[in-house]
Amino acid sequence: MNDTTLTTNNRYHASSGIWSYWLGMLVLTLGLAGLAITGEADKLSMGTPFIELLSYKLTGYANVLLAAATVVYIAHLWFTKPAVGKWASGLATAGAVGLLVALLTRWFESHQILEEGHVPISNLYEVSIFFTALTTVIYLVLESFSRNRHPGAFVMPIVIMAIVFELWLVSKGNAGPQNLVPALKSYWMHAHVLANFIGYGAFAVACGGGVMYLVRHRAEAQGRTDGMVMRVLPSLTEADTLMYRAIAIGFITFTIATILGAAWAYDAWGGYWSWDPKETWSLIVWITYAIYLHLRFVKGWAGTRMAWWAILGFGVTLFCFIGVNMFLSGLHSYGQVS
Amino acid sequence: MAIDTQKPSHPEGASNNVLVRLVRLLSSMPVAVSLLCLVALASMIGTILVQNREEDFYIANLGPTWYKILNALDFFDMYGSWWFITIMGLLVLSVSSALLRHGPRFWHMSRPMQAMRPWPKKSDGSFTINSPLASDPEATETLLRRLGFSEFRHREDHGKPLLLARQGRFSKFGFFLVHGGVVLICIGGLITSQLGFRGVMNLPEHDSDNRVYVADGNKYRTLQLPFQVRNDDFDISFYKTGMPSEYSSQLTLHQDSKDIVSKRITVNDPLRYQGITFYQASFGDAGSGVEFTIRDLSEKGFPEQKVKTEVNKVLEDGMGLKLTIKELRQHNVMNMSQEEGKTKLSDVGPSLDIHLSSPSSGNLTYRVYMSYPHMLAFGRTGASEMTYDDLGFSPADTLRMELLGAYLDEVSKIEGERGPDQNRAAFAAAMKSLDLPISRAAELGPSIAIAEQVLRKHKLPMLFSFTGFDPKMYTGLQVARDPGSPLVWSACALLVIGLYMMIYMHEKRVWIRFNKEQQQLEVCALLSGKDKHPLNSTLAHLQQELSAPTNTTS
Repeated sequence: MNDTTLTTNNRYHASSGIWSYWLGMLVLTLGLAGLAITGEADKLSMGTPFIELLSYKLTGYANVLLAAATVVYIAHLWFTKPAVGKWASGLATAGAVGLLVALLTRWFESHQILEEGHVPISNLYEVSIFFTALTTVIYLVLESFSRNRHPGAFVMPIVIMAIVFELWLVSKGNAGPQNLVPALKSYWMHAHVLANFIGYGAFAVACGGGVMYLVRHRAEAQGRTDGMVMRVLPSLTEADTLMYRAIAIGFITFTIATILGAAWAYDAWGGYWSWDPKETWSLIVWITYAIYLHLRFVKGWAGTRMAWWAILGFGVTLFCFIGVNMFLSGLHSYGQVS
Repeated sequence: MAIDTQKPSHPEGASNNVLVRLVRLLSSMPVAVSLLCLVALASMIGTILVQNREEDFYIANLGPTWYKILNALDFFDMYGSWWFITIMGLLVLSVSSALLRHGPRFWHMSRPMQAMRPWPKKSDGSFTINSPLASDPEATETLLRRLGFSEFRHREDHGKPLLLARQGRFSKFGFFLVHGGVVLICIGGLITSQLGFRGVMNLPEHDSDNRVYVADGNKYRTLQLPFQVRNDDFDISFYKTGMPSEYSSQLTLHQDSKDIVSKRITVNDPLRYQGITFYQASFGDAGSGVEFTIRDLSEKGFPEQKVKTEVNKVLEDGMGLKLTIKELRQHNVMNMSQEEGKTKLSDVGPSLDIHLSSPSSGNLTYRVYMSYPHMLAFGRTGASEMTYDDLGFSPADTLRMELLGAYLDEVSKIEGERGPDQNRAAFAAAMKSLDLPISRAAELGPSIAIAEQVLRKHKLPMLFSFTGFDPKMYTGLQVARDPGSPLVWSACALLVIGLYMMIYMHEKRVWIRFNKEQQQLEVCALLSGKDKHPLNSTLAHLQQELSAPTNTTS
């Protein structure tokens, strides 16, 4: 029996362990959030400034951890000892947990410093943190199945870009908890946003996989047999699988998210589809990945063209996520940057 | 045992039937992908080019030539244009063609295995392995059953036992669900657009109406509901920032004098009745009663006039002066903090916007605060921000206003140099003209001096003071009839289930030949579809299980 078979078998049997590990992380997140909230409870009052909030500081620390994870992931390309990879994953996990703790804390804080608190997924800053956390988690889950920690060097830079965007929003003064406009007060919102950001996060991971594929493909086309790329990067097939898996998860959740959004619009605006810019762009994102799946399922396409498609798809996704709010006007006015 | 050696019937043979060829063309991948790209690109244009605005807006922004060209092509009501509908229609046709073209084959696949298929000439994966199961087809079947295979056929092949196993018989149903779902969603949308409507209705408190205004491009048409809608009560609450936190209306549907149904609707909680839904969409002023006083500064002695009118009314004096009562705000939240970066919000109470237009002073908008009558706030046309100043006393303060008028009148009589002495003399004359004792000069003098400065600085033709109001709000309702929605929601459910099936369920077939003498198994497998990835883990798992079966049955 050869090596590849062995790793595949391990993967098959390890899955229950992986899920209990992530369940443990969830419990840890909730526990830490509980601690943070109890610690801060009596220091808050109506109108406490944003920069004095514990959630703001926690976000900062978590972002530092994620930046460190990125550095270690990149270093891991050259320093291939498994320990380095484990450190990278550990830092990334700590960072993601930190961000989720920060969001849970912010949820509590919003109830203390606003007249009506709300789940912190209602402005561009909050959803950017959510995106950062979810992208990291989705990548780490896929990583724990593939047991290869090198793709992190390609996915984490996207996380860093999201962090830079968050910092920019802070500098523009668009980061504090805000009151909700009446249309956002709906239970649909929570499910809609959650599903949406699992989708966005998965598409981000696919984009990282696409870049990694192209790097390896270039090295192979140049006829290299040794060197960092050939030694550490996953094979083209594995990179392609990572892309596909991420897009498959993303496409299903994004479809659900769009349907939930339509259901919400049906209750709030009087119609499930209004050709509002955000809706329209989510349709464009959906079509982009629908084409990807068609080419793969029907034409059996894989490889370079599909890697480019995954990268392009994420570009479209980013415009839907951020661009629409910044450049186009419409009913999704929650995320205007002033 | 009969062996089915017949090749699977290939539905893709040449055909002269035009319909068949059309279906093939429409469902072909290049056409499908092009149509998807076209829908995406066209939709994109509609998000960049603002839709359904008035003609002047486009002419101002694009120029008359581009306006004519783009308007002729329906670019300003793009999602309803004939060409966009055509593209969408073609997409639906393409998806339907795909259903027609592949449907029979996939349907055929979902039937139980009819007979043993021979060892395939070309497989998607094969291996030969030493196995303790080499002489035991029955135990192998049990093992495969555990791995998710559900259909089995046994036979002899060249003296050796051969086993065929299959799983995922219904996996291709995902294809029907997804593509059928997309078609049904589009049909649902079509039903809604043809048989449904979506309009607005602005209903003042205690009013009743049955007319709905339905947008038609950038125009409106009226639609009559079979019953009346009454707004019994409109309620709005605000955050401390002055932003609305929630608004709701108590709506009653009634026919003649009989109430049918009543409900308090809020933004995310509409009233649904007989397929018609009433959504809380907006609110506005339905002509609140307002009272204010006018001081005409262009006339001698600054006479006062009391006015009682309504919001949105226009008052004219017949000489070109026009006062428009613009907006009543019940809350004005301002940042009263003196420190940079800190916020200390405070509600300064109601205000009224009055627009003044006259040939002599042009256009001016005043904002008059009820609780701060001495505050002057106004904006000239073209200015982006309001100018604020403090008069020192209310324009409704008759004593001071008249004194100010008299004083300015006296001042205007001064000839030559104007110094402190002349001012004092003019003020004394003004006091006298109003029969005021000179003992009050110290009390009134300074405020009159400041007010004079303020008036000279801004050259305002009139001053207002806001004295009372009686709010009357209308509730803005979105009214919709959406007969396609049940179909759309069921189709969405089908779509999601189908997607899951298409991505995570596959038809897999495995042939196993038992070589008893060499204790070996020859295995080969087929996976339907072009994407062969899902087979890898199955084969790897199978390889492990066949070489060293884990005993879970005992």
